[in-house]
Amino acid sequence: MELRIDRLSKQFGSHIAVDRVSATVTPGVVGLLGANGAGKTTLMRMVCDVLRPTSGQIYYNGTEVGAMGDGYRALLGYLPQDFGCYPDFTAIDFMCYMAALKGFSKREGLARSKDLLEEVGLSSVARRRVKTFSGGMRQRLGIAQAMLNDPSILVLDEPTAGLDPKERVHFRNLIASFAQDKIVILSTHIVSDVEFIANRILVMRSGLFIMEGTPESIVASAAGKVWECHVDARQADAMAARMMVANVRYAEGGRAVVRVVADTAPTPDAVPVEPTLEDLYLNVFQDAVMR
Amino acid sequence: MGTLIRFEIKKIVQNRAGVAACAIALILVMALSLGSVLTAGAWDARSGSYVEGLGAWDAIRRTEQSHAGTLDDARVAEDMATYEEAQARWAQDADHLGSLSAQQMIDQYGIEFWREVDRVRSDAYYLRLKTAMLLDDKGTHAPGLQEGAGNFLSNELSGRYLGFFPYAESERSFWEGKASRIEWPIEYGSALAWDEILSFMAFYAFVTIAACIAVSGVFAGEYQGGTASIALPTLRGKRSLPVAKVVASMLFASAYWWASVAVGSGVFLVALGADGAGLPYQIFDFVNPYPMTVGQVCASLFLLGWVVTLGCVAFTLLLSSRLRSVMPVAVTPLAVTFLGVFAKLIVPLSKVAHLTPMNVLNDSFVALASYALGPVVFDLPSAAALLYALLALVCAPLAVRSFVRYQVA
Repeated sequence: MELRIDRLSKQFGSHIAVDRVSATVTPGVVGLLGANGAGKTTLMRMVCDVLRPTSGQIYYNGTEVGAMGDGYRALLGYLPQDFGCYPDFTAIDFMCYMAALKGFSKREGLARSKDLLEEVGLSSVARRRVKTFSGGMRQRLGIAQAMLNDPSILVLDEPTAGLDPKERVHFRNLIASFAQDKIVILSTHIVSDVEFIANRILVMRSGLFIMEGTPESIVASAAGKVWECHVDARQADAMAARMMVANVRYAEGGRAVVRVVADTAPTPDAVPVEPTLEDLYLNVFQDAVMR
Repeated sequence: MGTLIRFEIKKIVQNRAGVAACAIALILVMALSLGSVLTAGAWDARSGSYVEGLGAWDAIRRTEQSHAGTLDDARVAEDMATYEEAQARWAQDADHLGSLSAQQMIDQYGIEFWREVDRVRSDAYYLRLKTAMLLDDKGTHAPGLQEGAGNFLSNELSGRYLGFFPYAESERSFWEGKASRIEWPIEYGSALAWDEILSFMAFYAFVTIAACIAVSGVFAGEYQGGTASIALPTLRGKRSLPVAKVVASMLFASAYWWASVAVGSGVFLVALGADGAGLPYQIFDFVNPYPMTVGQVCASLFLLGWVVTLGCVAFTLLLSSRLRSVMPVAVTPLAVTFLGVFAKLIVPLSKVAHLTPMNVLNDSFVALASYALGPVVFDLPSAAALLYALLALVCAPLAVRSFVRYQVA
């Protein structure tokens, strides 16, 4: 199973949101990392066939997805960013409706819906209207509907937004187990989500893939660019204003331990430390973060 | 498909603004019907007293039934003589009589005088008869009702419709051909409920508007609520779903239309009785050229209203599939309907304005408006039926196409 993105572009007026990107995605979790406006959502919409590319193609197992039509959409599961649902539907109604859209018979749809609501911890509120749900509950419902048809390609745009840490961990485990023989494309701002479950990471910036690889190889590219230094607390504040400070830990006696992402040592006594994916993110999107 | 249609109907029913509009229109139709039945008032020719409510309808029915029978030439001549005698007796003391109320007239002149003069002068039957029988300004009468009606139609067709639109030869032939199929002499009788139903037909345009408001969010609501992005990338999202939406909208609008018709006309039929459905439509207007019965006209108008509703709903769905906001979609049918009512007052626009929903229901089978396409002539009901059927057949597939092509951006 393979999803091939071939020189895919999307232009809105004079703005190029996605600029001739190419990638081949195989089963496993692909993390799409990028700042706001990097083109992640636009790319995902094109993958899900809800936005027509300006140029380029997407192939599934060698067949252009436009030519596959319903056959391609039958393989998809999609949780969009800002997931919209029908507020007056109950959770079970919403799931049954989505099941009908995904081609399930009434009985199959109901059974599958109940299973998934159980899986995401919403079975006790299945008869409640969606409009009474919290943000996290809605997000879990969104995840459940995306997985209804046991999709071969699961596209998740900011799926952990609104989830509390416990829910996020549960969700990550769910995705990890789901992705064993499926393609999961996961976009998020929460770097740790990608770090834990992605087999591969695509880093996007200004509509382009600027980095690609396993989490380890991606993180390794930041080696020698992450420093830790012990400074005066006031000096730490000054450093945060003029360089990319990943973390400040205030210590006793007016001292602070500052973690800095920079090409060169920020202070003479700074020592290089092991980078994390978050450090890499800060390094790559320094402009966006500093702004 | 059935499950999807059911869910789509559920969504329409859960749209609060739409349901509120439907409820308001239905209540309006019911209130107007009930109001008309309960607040009627009439002078009882038998007792000379003023009666209200259902009693008034009994009095009106008795008066109408007193004219029942075949309106052959002899009968019409007799009735015209009765009317003219009443006019002559009134003319003897017109100034004084004109200043009296019915009760004062009964007190001063007696109930017989009131019954034979004032009642006859104000009886709708005699007034309609007079209009039909009058051949010219000098007061010449036609020898019979058929000739009178024929003369009236000839006069109309030799002029212009509303004094502006000349009748083409094909239009004249069309109307004369229609009128020639009326079977004279006609049978007269009482058809109170049907008369009231026809009088209130224009208000059913509110039912059409409400149905349009209810379906305004069918596509636009998916865009506005962000649900299109989860519905479209599914197995049935770009094939069965938009079709289910159209079918659900049409089913909802049809059910709502016929429920409103049942409620509105049901009030009249239950309160006033269903008698008179088989009488010729000319009992309401002797010069009307439609060779139909009262029941046929009512049924045709209800069917026409249904077609108009489906056409308007399809047009609304097309707007809904093209616009991202529900509000302008909901407002458009309302605006078209009311602009049509006002546009009818501007004579050069009136023929087009006749085709807007409220005017179609109000003027069909009444107005001598016709639309000639070369040798083919359509009267208002057939032109409207064709227009709205076409609107439904064209707009519904276009709405489906727009939804399928929608880009989540």
